[in-house]
Amino acid sequence: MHPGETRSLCFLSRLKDARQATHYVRRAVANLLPAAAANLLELAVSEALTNIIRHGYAMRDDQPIRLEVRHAGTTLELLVEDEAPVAFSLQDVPLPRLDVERIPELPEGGWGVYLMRQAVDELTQERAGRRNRLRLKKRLPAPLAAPLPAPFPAFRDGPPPDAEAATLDALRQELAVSEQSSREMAEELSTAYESLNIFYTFSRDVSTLTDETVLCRKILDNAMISAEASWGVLRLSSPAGFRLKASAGQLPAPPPPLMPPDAPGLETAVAAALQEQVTRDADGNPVMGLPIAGMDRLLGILLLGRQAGRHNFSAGDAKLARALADQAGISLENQCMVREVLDARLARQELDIAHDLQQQLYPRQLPQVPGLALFAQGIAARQVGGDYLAFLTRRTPDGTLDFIIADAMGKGMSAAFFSILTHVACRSILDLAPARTPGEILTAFNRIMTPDFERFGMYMTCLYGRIDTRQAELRYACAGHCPPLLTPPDGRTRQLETLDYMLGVAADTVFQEGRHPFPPGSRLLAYTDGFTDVTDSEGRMRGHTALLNAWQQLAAQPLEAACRDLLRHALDDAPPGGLQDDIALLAIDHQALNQADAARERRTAPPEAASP
Amino acid sequence: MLQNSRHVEIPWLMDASQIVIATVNERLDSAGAGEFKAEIATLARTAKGIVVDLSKTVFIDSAGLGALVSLLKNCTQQDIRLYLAGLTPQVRQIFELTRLYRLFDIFETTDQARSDLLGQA
Repeated sequence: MHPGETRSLCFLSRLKDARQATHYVRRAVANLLPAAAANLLELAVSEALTNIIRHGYAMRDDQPIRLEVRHAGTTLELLVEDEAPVAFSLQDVPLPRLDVERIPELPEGGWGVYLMRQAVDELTQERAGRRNRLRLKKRLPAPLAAPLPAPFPAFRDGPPPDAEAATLDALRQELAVSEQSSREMAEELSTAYESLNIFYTFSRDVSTLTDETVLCRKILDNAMISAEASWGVLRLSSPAGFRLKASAGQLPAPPPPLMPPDAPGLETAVAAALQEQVTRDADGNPVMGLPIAGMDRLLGILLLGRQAGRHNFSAGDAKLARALADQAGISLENQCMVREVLDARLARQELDIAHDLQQQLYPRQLPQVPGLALFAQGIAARQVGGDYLAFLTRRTPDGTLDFIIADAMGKGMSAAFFSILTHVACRSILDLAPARTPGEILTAFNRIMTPDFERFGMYMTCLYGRIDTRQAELRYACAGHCPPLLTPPDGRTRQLETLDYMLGVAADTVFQEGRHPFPPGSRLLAYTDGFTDVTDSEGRMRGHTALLNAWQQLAAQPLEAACRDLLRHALDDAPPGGLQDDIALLAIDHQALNQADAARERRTAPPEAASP
Repeated sequence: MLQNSRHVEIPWLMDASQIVIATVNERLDSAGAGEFKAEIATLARTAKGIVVDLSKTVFIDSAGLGALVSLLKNCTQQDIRLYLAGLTPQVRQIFELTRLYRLFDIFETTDQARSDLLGQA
């Protein structure tokens, strides 16, 4: 996951679905947390979901749960929402007393909330309308954890050899200052004016710079002029530690003397104290280190030095250099923001391309299969998701029609990319091995694709089905996808089983198959979770039951009218900002054949087996 | 040597010495803990010792811990020795957090656990 990214998942209150959701979280945070912390976080999610299902929903398995994972920069934020009448209790329960002498009396639970608290830094619960919201926050390891490079100039404790002389000098100077005449005061004022002028020119110059190298050079030049330094070094922090960005002047004797490994360097001291440090290097030359701070982090460190024999940096020098370093921090931060805006613009362009790609994949023309009426439509949300749907026909018509509806987790280009891979892979498998059943096709697809899913940290839910008009049968395999709705000729709509885990969990998964009669008069609806995840104006998730009821009420309408009504309901229910997720639906009616179709069917039907 | 069906959640083997080696799969969580308890309760009726092999288990939650404690109680009541073996770092972490390691006899490998059981027999 990247900073600012949010991933969400909506599923039914079933323990096996909860298990998939914990997998999902584990994969999302895998590159953000050390293994032990990721293990605990996965455990916390598992405990939260189990508690919701067992205590909130009292094991009802048709209720909605929504899980959201957000990379908020310095923290990872998880939100778990449910619509149980009462939230499960987060009250601390002391750890059960473990007494080996009294094993038969041991409790068989009571660790759940304790384990959740161990896993995260913050655990809170609230009731918002009809929903319970459980928030888990985990601090991410600090970005500045990378070690500092070998410190630059060498320093040693205690005064340098000529320190006493310098101290005497300083004392004499102070005495002189106390007796300075009005002429000297005027000189000081003049110096202050010069400093202000340097500062003003610097601020004006750097405010328009967008190139980091040029900006760093400018910062260093101005700092050296203002501090009357004979050399300067500027390093900026990066994920790999501090990197040299600019250096100027005659650096201390080559090669730069390095610190003994056990002594703290000036840069380390500046980074730790976050304020300027004035000292002398091993040869007694004056050196000053300054932090360049951003809004909430250390951006870099500036080192300035004077040649041997020069006076040490005064409090006034340090003050002016500090003001420059502060201004440099603001300029560097601004420049980061400009870069972020440009990146965001690029990302938006990428999203537009992904959106176009995805729209190209939705079926333009529905295939003609005698006896079947078809409908398919996808509507993309503002953020492109990974919905995909297609009807697949064989080269030689045999009275069957395959269909696929899938939802790749994640957004943007990678989701669109996986939709295309699904498109190619499923068509290839079906074309090369037309005899394969839906379960075998998903099994092969999952085996081929799992290494790529793992590489991209992705999962995909998928429903692959086949209608056989001659056998009047529906066969399907379902990899963690929303359960399809079947309306038999008696008009009583029911939800079919979600049979297996999502694609990408394990390469060796063998996907099961469901088989149901699908005689003329039957209707099937397959959809993506954008439908059930829609939140209405009262903050309720529509959920699977609401969809089932809505579809049941539309059972008497012709297929296209029913589907358009259902889409309209979903769009009406969406909040003012628009859909939160893509929605896609695919529906099939098995109609009685008219005479012309029946004659065509007879011509293409295989001959009946001869009776013995 | 008896062997259970490969379709169940917990594969196990019982040898002539009536020691059962039960191998838990990758996850012992709320979705599988019920099946674990039911499956292993049938073993506890005939075995003299049980070794629960956790070397493949990379995730255990409080329901999984509860199932192990339940098994421990059953075994104690029926005077059957129960050993845990091959704890992965993930499982060990949870045992340390909950201090459950104090209750169980834990071995590095199933072979060590089995040898110990045979030595006592």
